[in-house]
Amino acid sequence: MRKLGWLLAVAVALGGSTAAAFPWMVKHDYQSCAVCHVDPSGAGQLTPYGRAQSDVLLRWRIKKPTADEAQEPSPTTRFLWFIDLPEVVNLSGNFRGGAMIPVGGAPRPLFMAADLYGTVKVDRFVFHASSGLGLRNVGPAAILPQCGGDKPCNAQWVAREFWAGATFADEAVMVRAGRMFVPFGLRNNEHFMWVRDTTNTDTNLDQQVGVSASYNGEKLRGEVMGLLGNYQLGPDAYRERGYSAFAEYTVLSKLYLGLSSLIAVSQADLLLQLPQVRHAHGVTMRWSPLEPLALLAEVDFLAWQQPTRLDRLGFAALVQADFEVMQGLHLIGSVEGQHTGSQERGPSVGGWVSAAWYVLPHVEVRLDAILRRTARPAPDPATVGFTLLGQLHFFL
Amino acid sequence: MRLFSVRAVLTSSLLLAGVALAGWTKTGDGVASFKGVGPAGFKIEGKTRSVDVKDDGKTLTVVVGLKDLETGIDLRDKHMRDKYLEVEKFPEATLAIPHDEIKWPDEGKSGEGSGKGTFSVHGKSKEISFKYKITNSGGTFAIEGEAPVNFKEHDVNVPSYMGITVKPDITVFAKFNAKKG
Repeated sequence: MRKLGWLLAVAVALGGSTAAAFPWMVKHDYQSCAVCHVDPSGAGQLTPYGRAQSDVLLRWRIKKPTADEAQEPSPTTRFLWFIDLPEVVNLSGNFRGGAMIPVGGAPRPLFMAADLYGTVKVDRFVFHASSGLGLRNVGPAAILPQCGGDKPCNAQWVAREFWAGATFADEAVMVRAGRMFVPFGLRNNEHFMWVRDTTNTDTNLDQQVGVSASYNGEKLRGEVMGLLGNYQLGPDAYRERGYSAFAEYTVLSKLYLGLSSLIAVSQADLLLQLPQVRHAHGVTMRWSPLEPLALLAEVDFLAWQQPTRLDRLGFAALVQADFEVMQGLHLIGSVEGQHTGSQERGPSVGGWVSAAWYVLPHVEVRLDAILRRTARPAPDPATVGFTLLGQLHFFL
Repeated sequence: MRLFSVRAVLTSSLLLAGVALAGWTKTGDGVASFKGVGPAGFKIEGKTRSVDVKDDGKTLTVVVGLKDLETGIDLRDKHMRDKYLEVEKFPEATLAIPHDEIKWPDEGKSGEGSGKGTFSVHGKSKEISFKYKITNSGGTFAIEGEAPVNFKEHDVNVPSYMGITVKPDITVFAKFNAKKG
């Protein structure tokens, strides 16, 4: 029953979108994520510089200011819109809620994230933790109470990240240990897209405990993480051990190509309770051919090896175009596909049309229209679903 | 006869002056840029198309206008122009290169080399080393070069913003076509 609990948890979390991660910042020639995010590979809490850039580059403006008109970031970029914190302390929060409206079904309110982040940086040493509240089985990110399946619970204490690290070589290198995002693929905002979901690398639920070393240089960035398992998931047989890694290289100005690789071994997978070796290996691209446009792509080869079954082979793929109509208003088109090797008749395919509007300091309004044809193991026919997802996001 | 002599002297002088002034001039578009880096993979690139060439017969001077310098972010442009480079007071950066520091390739050929010149920005001048590549196509010389520059040596405050500080050692680049005569 526990596995059903996790499946339910994942289903509930489908509506969620995690803390902001913007691979389309390639438009502004930001290859390195570590400048704006506490996590050296991006996503999650912003640094003070990132908070300022969120106001300067993200916030909606009817008319883009010229250099002469450019204003300093609004004082509201501070924590809780107005609090100045000491330099060594960085506090922020991430609150996201909304509604999922499946066509032909009843609208469902979503409480996606209510997390507080804290970071203390003393000299080269960085200590980071997040803590929050989750509703209705938030799955592998929850600490207490344990629930799922026949033990549902309404509220849970969630801790997605807690790690300690040290930086070296003018902050180009960071070594960390703790619970953190798994370095793999595009760290895109839509965490339940198939490239994130089938590789178990979304930044909402799939953090793992491990040790990692990251590098952010002028042309190359990357991270290698030794996976020690998700200790908020039990018993130990479910925990995956192995590695995950990615590297991204600047081929040309505003054109970045990346490689990712992950191999994780567990004594029991959540569905069949069989020992499993899970592979994901892929390539990524981020490219901004024109200033308002960013193109993102990821293709991953997937394999699941289990001793008493034939290996399953599959893939997950995403192509996304982000067009900034005016500063702070993004129209996003995405096409995705996947095959899990589970005797589906053909791949699953999906299309997204989304609008993200950074309407006020620290406030995002987002609407996604998602059409998916989801292939199912034979003889079941594929299902087609159309869903509207509306979100309101505050990042304090 | 006397009249002729005066005319001859005047004409010769003008011709000589003409030859002296007929130095290198820029043709077509040019671009100049700088690249700086900071912590955690941070980088900044500034670019301007305001590039000119002046020649007094002994020294070739590449003149870069800084008022139109763009770094890709408007607020950063404003900071660079107003706060760090102070372009209202110091609107240009220049690299003055003695003629004999450059070897000009023959027609249809390319050449690379290095030399020394005087780089001036923010009202401070310093001798620097530079590298160049020149291609001669029908008497038009495509020139590109780069040089390391230290902000501090020119009394430019090192750009720093919200905990991100650019390293004082930057690289400056220029690319343009020039013609003699």
